[in-house]
Amino acid sequence: MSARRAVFAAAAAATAGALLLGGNATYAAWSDSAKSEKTTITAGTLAAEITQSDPASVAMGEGASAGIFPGDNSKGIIPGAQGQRWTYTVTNSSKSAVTANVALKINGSVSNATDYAAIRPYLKATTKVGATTTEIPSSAFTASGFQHTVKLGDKLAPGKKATIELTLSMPATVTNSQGQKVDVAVELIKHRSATTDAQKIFTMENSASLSQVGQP
Amino acid sequence: MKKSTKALIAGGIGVALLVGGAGTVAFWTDEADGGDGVITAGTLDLGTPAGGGWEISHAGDGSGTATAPVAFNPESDQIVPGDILTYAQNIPVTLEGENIAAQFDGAIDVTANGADADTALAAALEKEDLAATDISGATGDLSFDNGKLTGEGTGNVEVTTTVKFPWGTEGQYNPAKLGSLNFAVDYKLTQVPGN
Repeated sequence: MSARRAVFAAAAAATAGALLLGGNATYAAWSDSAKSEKTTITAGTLAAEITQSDPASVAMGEGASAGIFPGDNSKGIIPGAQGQRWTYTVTNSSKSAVTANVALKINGSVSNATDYAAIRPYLKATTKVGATTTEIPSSAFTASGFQHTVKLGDKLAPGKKATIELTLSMPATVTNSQGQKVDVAVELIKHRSATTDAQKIFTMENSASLSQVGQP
Repeated sequence: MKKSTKALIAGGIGVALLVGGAGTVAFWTDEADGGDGVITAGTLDLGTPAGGGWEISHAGDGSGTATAPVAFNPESDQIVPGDILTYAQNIPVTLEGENIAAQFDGAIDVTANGADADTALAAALEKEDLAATDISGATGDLSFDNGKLTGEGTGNVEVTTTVKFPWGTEGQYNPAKLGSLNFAVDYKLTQVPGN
């Protein structure tokens, strides 16, 4: 190799060495990247539906045998003779993506505080789901109204429905704290009415609650 | 002029010519070209990811055993709280070079479509890091271990990405109902020292 070629070769080598070492001892590594195709992921939903029937009268207790004959259009509570029934149909919407536990949330607000206060000690309530009737604790009737949650127990798959009957009533007689038998109708004579329109006890705004089943 | 004097003068000049002004020496040289030497660089390449497959299982609230994974069709199926989604894809790789080695990695890219439910869904999902589990169809010396590729050759890195929709507390993810998001995975191959 000529001296001139030797000098050029040495200069090239020195330059290459400088490029490799860099300013802070960094080095250039190769890399490549790729991206998967884009996919759209969508979440489902859980939707509850509820319908409520008009109240129906329910014959209870002594009724006609006690000489009590409610009017044809009477829907109100008559102590010992007639209860009032509301029927709710709760549906797990067909649009839902999951099976759900079902609950009916009862929320009654007082319509007439004086009437309610007088009637409240005698009120009774039951629910019926399928063939099972359950008494609602008297503690559900508070000074502010009627609040209770009815858990159905059965799960509802999407598109399935359940029916809950809520029956409100009062007994013909109760035994007071002195051990005396009290005629409820007589006690509440000042709070009676022939129709539900005239004498509201409380106003209910009930709702259906669905919660996704936890166990897979 | 005597011959001896001429000879002496000629020899002096010759010597002078030989030693030069600054002590240089004239010597013989020659050159010859060597054969052509072609130096080529290797390569590190990620090919186009092959079509991936989705599966879904359901763990619910974690109180029971998760269901076995089944095929999930994003175009028709929907996710709910408690679901576990997996996405499996094969990524073609090519490594060439005497001392080539590379680290395989990736990141999940989830973007909401703009609606409140979409944003809520994107925020709810737990995006687990993807796992490069194995290599298939490897040629040459290419091998794979714990995300690192070594040796020359081609193959397909098998990658599984997992996304979870948590169970949460009651009603926590209600805002995410019917939300949708765009899912993709960014794969990356980065050269690492071969020693």
